[in-house]
Amino acid sequence: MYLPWANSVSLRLVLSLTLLCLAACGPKVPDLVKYASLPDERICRIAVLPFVNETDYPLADTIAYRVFMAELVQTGRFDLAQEGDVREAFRHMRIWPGQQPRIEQIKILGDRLRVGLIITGTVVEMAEVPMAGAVNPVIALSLRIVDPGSGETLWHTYHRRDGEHYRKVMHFGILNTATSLADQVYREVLDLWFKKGLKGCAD
Amino acid sequence: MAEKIAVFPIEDLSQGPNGVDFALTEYLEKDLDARGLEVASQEAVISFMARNRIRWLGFLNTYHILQVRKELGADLILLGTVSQRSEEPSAAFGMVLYLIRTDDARTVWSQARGLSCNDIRHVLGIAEPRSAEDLWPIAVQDILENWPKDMGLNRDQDAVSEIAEVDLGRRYVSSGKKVTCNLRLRSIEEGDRPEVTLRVRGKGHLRMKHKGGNLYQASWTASATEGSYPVSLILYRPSGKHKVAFLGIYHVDNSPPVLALGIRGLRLHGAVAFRDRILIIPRLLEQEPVSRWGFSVQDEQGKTIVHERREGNLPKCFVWQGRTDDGVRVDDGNYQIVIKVWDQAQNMAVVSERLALMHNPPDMVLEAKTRGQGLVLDIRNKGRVPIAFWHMEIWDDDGNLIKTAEGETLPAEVDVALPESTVECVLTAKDILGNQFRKEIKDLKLLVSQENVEGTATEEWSMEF
Repeated sequence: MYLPWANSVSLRLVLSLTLLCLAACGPKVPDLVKYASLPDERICRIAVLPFVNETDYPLADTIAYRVFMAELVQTGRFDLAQEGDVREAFRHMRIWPGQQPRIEQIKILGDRLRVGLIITGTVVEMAEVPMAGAVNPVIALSLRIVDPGSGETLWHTYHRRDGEHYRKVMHFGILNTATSLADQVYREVLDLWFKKGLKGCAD
Repeated sequence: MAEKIAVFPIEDLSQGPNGVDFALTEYLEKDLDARGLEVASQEAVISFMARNRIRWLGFLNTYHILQVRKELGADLILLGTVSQRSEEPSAAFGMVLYLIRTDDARTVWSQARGLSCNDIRHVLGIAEPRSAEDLWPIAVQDILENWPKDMGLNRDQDAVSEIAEVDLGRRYVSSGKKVTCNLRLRSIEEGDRPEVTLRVRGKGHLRMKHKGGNLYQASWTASATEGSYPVSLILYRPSGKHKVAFLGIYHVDNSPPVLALGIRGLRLHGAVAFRDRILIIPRLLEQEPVSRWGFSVQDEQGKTIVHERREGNLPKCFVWQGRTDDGVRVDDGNYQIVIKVWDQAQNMAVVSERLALMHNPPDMVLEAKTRGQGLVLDIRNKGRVPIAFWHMEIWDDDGNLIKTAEGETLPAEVDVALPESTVECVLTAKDILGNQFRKEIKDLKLLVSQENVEGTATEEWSMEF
């Protein structure tokens, strides 16, 4: 049946606007909240503190932490404090696994590790949802950039994604593992941070 | 000359917090050997880990990285973690590799990769991976395709790696108390022993005493001024270089906690009265960490009948049910509760409150006088606790209810017209603490005649209901 109005510009405009509204209705992630400005000077050396796991996924904190460290190293913009140095400082200060350091402990860590910024993270959600012979991984993270001089949070980012989000056509594009999903999520967070003003040594 | 690399055993998180995958480690060693790198033997690496008491996989600290260079002669270290390995519902494998340069303890390269059977589709399904065992070589090759060609030349090593252990003692002290700092440095070569000093609040140079081996100790008296005292360490090397490290903070606190009590109960004659249990809510008016607390109850003679002392924060409330520590119910009377709280600097605060335990029934008096053809019943409360309500029923011999009366206050008078037959009276009452009273008089007329003749009444008591 021939519908002369089906190809009209106005119909296409209405459909585009509808899609735009639908996209705008969902939560905007990664979400960045800036509590204060980052230091003016370039930050070369940063420390990432062990993440906290708020999920039932075993060792989600370690997995998320290692993948995040890998992604940070890949940017080539920072000198990262060794995880071993961070854990040793935690041990000296009796900060137990799963605990977040207090403000005064953050200051000690900053000085001991000689870093200009500290990043802390919480794995809010990590799961692999079974789906007809496959899994759809889900990950939600909360990351904070902290000023080691004052111990205060400067920036906070929340991001959540599942593997299906990246589907392009048919099964292409889907991320099928928690590791690859975490890697992609961190890339998006870091892209946002750099776009919003985080500078490293090489910038 | 080929660079030398030490491949540490690959951590496998799919086996738990400290799982290891030696097959994957060996695979990586062979691949790196094929790339022209000189690979330290696994035996040498494991022996190094044992000598240096490295109990965890997946990470190293700066000191150990430098020791790898010194003891194994390695220019690079490869660390890795298997982040996931599963077979159901579809096989999946994930891993992360880090490459560390040993002369400056810097991570120069890293890659993460996750792979599932669903990621790899071949025509007609030929040679598709079916298990994690099939997947991991593919994942490793994917990662190693990005092996760096240039390791970079930044040689500055920043972290203070000389400190092995540090203990500043208690975080909170009061003025005049001794503060002791114990420090253990990492292995120091002879001729390179540093001078170790401390600075407290940016002032002074307190030289630490060498206690043998790599142990150092310093003690000083906490200042009279309250406040935070940051402690920094300064290492002076014989070469003339020095390093400063922030060790920690202690606080001088001379003020006891500010404590108040909230008690829910009726205040009578200067004490809080209760019947069977009383809720005591301690409140710190200025929030601060509590080191320990004590709760006790003393009787009128000052003897302690309940005593509890615990470490840690104050509970939200205390409940005393009128019993001793042995569970024996105590008599009605006056008691005193005492709560003591010590803060982290051992400053003590004490609060106390008087309590009155009253669980006896109300002390009621019922008197009857004739008035014309009827009676006047006079009800009074002789006890200390006011009445909440009273209720009276008067019945004749046939079981008919002649009269009811009730009220919330005493004394009260009730007029009753007397029939010819026996008249029964039931009086119930409850005081404001909840203690209950019940009195049955089988024949009111007898009460009148006995009172008129002897001035006493014959009552029939019944059990409290």
